[in-house]
Amino acid sequence: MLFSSISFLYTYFLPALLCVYFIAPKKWRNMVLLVASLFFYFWGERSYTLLMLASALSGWAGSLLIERFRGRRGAKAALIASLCICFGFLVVFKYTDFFVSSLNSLMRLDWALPRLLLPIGISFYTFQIASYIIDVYRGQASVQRNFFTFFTYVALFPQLIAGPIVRYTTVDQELRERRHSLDGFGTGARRFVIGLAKKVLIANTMYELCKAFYDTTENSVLYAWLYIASYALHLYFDFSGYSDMAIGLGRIFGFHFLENFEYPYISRSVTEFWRRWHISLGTWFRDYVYIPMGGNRVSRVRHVLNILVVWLLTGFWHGAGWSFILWGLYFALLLMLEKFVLIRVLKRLPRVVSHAYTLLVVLFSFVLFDAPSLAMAADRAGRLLGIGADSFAGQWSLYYARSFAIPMLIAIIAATPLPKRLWERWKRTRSGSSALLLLEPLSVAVLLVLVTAYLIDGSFNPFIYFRF
Amino acid sequence: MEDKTQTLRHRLTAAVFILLLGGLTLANLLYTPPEISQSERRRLRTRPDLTVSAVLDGQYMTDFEKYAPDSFVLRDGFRTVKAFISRYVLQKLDNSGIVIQNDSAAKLETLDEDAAKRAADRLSRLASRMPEHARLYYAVIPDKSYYMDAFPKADYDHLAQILNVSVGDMTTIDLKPALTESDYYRTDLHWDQSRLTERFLPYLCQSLGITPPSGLRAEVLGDFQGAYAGQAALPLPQDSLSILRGQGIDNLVTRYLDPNTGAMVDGPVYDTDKLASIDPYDVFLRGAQGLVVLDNPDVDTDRELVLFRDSFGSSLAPLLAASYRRVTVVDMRYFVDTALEAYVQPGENVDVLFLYGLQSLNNSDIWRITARR
Repeated sequence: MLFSSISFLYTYFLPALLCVYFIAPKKWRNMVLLVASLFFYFWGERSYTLLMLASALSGWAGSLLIERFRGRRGAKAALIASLCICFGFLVVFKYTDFFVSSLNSLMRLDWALPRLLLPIGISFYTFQIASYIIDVYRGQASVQRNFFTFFTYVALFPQLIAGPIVRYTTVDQELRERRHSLDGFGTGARRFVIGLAKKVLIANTMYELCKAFYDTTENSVLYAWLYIASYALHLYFDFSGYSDMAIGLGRIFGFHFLENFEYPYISRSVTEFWRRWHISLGTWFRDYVYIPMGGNRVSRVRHVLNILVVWLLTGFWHGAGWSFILWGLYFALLLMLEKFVLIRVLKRLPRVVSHAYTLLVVLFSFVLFDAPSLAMAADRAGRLLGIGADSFAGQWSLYYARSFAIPMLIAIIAATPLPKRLWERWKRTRSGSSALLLLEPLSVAVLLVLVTAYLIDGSFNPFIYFRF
Repeated sequence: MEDKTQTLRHRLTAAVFILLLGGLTLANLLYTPPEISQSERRRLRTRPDLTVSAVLDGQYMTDFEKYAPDSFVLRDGFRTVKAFISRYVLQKLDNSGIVIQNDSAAKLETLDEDAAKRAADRLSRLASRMPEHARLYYAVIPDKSYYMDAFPKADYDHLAQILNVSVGDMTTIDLKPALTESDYYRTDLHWDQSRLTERFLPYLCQSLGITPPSGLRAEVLGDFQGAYAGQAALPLPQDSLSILRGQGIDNLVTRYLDPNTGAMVDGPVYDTDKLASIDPYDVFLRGAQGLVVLDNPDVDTDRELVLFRDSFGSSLAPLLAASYRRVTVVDMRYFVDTALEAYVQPGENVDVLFLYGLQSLNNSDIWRITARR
């Protein structure tokens, strides 16, 4: 089930859940959320709901054993065992085909690919469970002895299938006791609707241009640039929109999730970009891989190795393919270049230059990220530079440049903090404060109506990060 | 004070959100959706049956996700809102592939090369089933958007190159010079039959080596909204549907293949009752028919035509039938090729014309052509 669907919004998941949740006594509300979350997941994944249950059970049991054997060797054994089970599911369901096909290529074998269907959200909930187990082992999180409460954390539908990756410590207190208010509900509703608008009105519109590029026979430089710009905007608004919806829904139900995106496209370096893009994933790898490996407090050689390992894993997390591994290593090289060579240079450069550099390297990374093969990635990257293109522009690229000029301009502006800053500045004035009293709720209503109109008219509405 | 204002603002937002969400949910609970969307010319999906097997294999969920937007209250109104925002606020040149220029709607059509190759192969296979003495022709009907200035064109020359690989032994009839935008309906993909006599019909007849009919007169049946009007979801002027009558058409004996019995059944060449149906263009040869035979008792020739066609052929076939003794009209979307020899038995003097629009060639996978012989 998608947040951006009529069945979720109106017929009848969210309205029914809101009614049942707020009517239910407080002590039953976690159970209501758990049942709703399982229904939500079952709707799309059916038998894989049991897989999520198994993964959650292994994490929960592991945490109990860690607590049982704390201070003794058994705790570490429990940690390793539960992490192996947890990640084992992920490896089997997400990476088996990759390993088998790679072995086939390497050793000239002909093993059949198992072709297991990827359970939606497995990368997200696996990382959540793993973070809980490790935090319990480190003594940073208290053990949750009630399995249903723990499972509620794992299966919580707002962030289950597309993040953000929520640490147990973030919601521990709120799982036990959380405050609901109309004020909080309104804050959450606004955030949810903004996320919906980002996804349905902007991301899906940008995807139309991407799809036109995929289907075209025109081989022009302009089309390639239109494609990569629209893809970058589509990816950002799709993913950040989904994060906004998750944060908004969480807020409605009394949870405070952390931010996952901070306007990454205003970054002036790749280092800064990755502090603003998919923050929950970056911090996860920092806290559970990079720092335990020694981070930057080791020799230069070991530091380089740590960076390479983190980014190889980051790339691999995004997809079971060599292009994703290369994508991760691409960023590893750039980050090392910045860290060891360019950092002083970038700080001295005019903002527009460092900004342009960052955008360019990120756009080229998306060529690798989106292409179905390395050969296709090379072809598309070449076209951006005019290599292999038949012309600078053609009738279709000129048409789409005209047709998508305003939507793209809106998307570019919306990808910056400018609208929010202007809104906040106006809110601080007396006239603005009064006007926004009605304007803000009205804007939410208008956006919701527009989203509904777009959802009814269109039927193609996938979320790109669902392959994770 | 600011905190109080902020709290009030958030509460108003909550109230608006709840009212809108709850209001539309309640409206949908009480609403009984129609079975057919008149504007979209299709059956709307109905609520799927809730069975254990459908839930376990996921089919129920898949069907419900399609049913939910189809059954939404004020569906047409919401579609118009979306079309309005897309065209007038975002200034997009098309809405879901439908372009509007000077109150005329068309669909942006691109050439699907792989589909065209498959279509060419299918045309070749059909041609191989025709008598060896038959004169074979093929022609591609340009989409209306080809004649609209502001929009990119599909590459028909490249399409011809692709088709010629498989059907190059047929005579190609290039129809591009024979039509203009005004020959098509404003709100529909099809051409206006009453406009074909001016330039298109003489051009095509000359290519086929036949004499075009003369003295035809247009009879206006009424106004209608074509297929693109609904897809555009914006108000557009109505079209006028006219049929051509006169010598060569009025006395045609028309028979339709009944798919249930396999028998040929008499019927009118123009089914005027269809003007009130979901697709008024079905006035011509009753719309979607697998096989239609038009016999002309008045013409002094033994020449026959086998016309493999899509929906464009429905309005053209009666005009061509004025010049042939018999026109057999075959639509491979509704006629299985294994029955060809049983129903298509032309004489010694026969033309075979494959006449398709670009949309049909892009979607020839739905033609009912069995394995290669």
